[in-house]
This record gives sequence, C-alpha cells and structure tokens, in this order.
Amino acid sequence: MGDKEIRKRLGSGDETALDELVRAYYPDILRYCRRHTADEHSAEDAAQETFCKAVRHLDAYVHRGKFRAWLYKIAANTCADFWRAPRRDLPLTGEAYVEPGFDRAELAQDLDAALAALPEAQREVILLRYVHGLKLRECAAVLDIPLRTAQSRERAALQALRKLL
Amino acid sequence: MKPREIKALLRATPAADAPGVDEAVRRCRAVYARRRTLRRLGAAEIIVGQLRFVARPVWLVQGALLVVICLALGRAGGGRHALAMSALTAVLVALTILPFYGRSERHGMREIEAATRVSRVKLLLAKLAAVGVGDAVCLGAAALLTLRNAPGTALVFVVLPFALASAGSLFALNHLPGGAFAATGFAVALVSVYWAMAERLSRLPAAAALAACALAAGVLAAECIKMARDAQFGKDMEEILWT
Repeated sequence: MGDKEIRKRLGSGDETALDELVRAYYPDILRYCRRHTADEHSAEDAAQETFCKAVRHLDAYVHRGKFRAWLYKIAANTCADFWRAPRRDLPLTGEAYVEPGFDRAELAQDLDAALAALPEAQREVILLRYVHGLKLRECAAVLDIPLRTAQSRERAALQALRKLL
Repeated sequence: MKPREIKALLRATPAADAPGVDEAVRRCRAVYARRRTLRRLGAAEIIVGQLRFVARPVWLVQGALLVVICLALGRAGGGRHALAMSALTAVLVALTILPFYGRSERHGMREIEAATRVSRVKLLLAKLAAVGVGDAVCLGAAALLTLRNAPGTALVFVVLPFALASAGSLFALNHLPGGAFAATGFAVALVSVYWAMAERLSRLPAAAALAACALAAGVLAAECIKMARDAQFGKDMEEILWT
C-alpha cells in the first residue's frame, strides 16, 4: 500500500487503512525498538507509542514519499525518550536481546560481535540500511545527518566489518 | 569477507515475530478516533471567504466614488479638461486601496490576525480582490462616459492611468518606507502630467498605450504574486479550518 493511498483512505475515515498501516510496519519498527531499548517490554511500548505518535501527527506529515523514514524517525525519538539518560550503546551480544528465531550460526554470532564493535554512529547506518532495508537517503533523514555523512559512515562501517569478519 | 557477502549476511537477518501488534492497532484506533480533523484551506478559498467581511467598507467608498465619476464625467462634455478628468477619476479608483492597505499596519492588526490564525497577507489579498471588483465597476462607468465624451480615448485616459496608478501604488506600499505617502505622491504626479499634457496624450498611438498598460500590468501581477508567495511559504501563520 503506497503512502498516498494510506493518507487518502485515512483522510476519508477508512479505519481499515490504519490497521493495514500498523500491521505492515509494526514488525520492522518493533525490531528497531528492540535494538534501541533495554528490554522486550520497553521495545513493545516504544513501538506502540511510535505508531500512536504517527497517527496523532498524520495531518502534519507532508507527502514526499518518505513515510517509512518519517516513521523510523519517530521510532528513534521515542526510543531516545525511553532511555532518557545519555544514549547507551546497546550490546548486541548474546547477553543482550536476541531475536527469536535468529540463526545462531557461528557466522551470525561473529556478525553480532562485529556490529557491537562498531561506533554507534556507523552501526546505526548499517542497521537501518541493510537490516531494515531503508535507502541511504532515508537513513540520513532518520538520523538527521547529511546524505554525504551517511555515505561515509556506511563506507567506513563496511570497511571495519570487513576487517573484523 | 567481501563487502557483498557482508551485505548479504546483514540482509539475511530474519524478520522477528511481532507480539503486541493487536494492542498497537487498538491504541492507534483510539488515537485516530480522538484526533481533530484538519483541512488546509487554499489561498483562493480564504480570499473568497473573507470577502463578506472586508468588501462592505471598500464598496461603500467605491460606490461614493462612482457617484462622483458619473456626476463629473456626465457633465464634462468633450475637450481637454474632460479627458484629464477621466484620467483623474481612473487614478482615484486605483487609490481606493490605500486606506485599506494601511489600516492593518496603522492599528496593529497583526495581533488580531495572528490570534484568528489567518494570514495577514491573505487578508490583504482578500481586500485587494474586493477592491478589484469595485474598481472594475467604477472603471467601466468611467470608460463608458469617456467614450461618450471623446470616442477612442478610453485606453489612454482611463485604462492606462489606472494601470500606472495601481502598479505604482502597490509597488510603493510593498517596497518604500512611508508607502502610502509615496503612492499618493506618485498619483498626484501622474494626474499632473495628464492635466498638463492631455492634448498631446490624446495623440498617443494605441500600440504605445497598450505596451505601457502591459508593463504596468506586469508590475502589478509581480507584486500580487510576491504577496501570494509570502503567504504560501508560511511567512505568516498557516490557516487551518477545524471541522
């Protein structure tokens, strides 16, 4: 369902569009929140709050084809609120959250450790770009950085991962 | 490991289950039901909607001017002075914008207009639209009477002075300090030129008059577009209709 279609149907009061929107994006947003909050309960709360905020401010969203990036931006801000204190790097080792069903093959564990070793700024770009499937321009919008900065962080992160793996 | 392999490994991370999605849907529906719907008004809709409030004083003034025009030109007959009188009435019609343009600045209407969440510039455009309607009626009467007195002179002695006065006034109001005074001064100078050179101007070729009208219309349009753009890009507050 395209962004324009969502807004059109929501604008005419079609609540099923709201259901479809939430169900379409919720797994990815929850996954993002799991990596950016302390525990599963906080992650679910953050994900639900993200969608509530998005619905509340839907009229303020100007359609420019960046709805997904806008949603991730809300998620990032919501997770930051949940932390309150200065952002802490979340360990991506086995002691921290482990995605259910994630293949614990040795290579995946090495990837986890390598991601954890990256600076947070680079890790964020890599996760948004390759795990969540956002375009680089969308990553830049979510992280509130220039596109060139996102590009250089991606490049640096891939180089670092290459050395570590 | 090659970058391509790293990227493939990152992308291969399986999607997680999503507990709590039903609760998320329930909460979102509650938020959606509670929110107030907003509808953004277009500039044209605001301007037309404001006409019923801003048009009455404008049209009262222009109605009085129309009576003056009919009396003055109806008795003028032909001749140089009659033509100059036509130009004078056309300039007066153009100047009816002055008292309404300056009013909001003079009486600090910004606060009231901000409190009502309507853009000052769009209110002004609404006033200009009301003035424009009245101007059309007054100019039509002036042109008809001028044509009756001296056929073939309406372009030079009605349309051209009106266009020049309108463009000059709006330019002065938008760009010059003490804009109303500058606009009035320009109008006085214009009428003086017409009064002194009425006979010479009556021999002005139609093409030259049309070119001058087009230039003045261009300046007028540019000033109106600038005002509309200022409103569009949110230099004043946005208008929202709560439904």
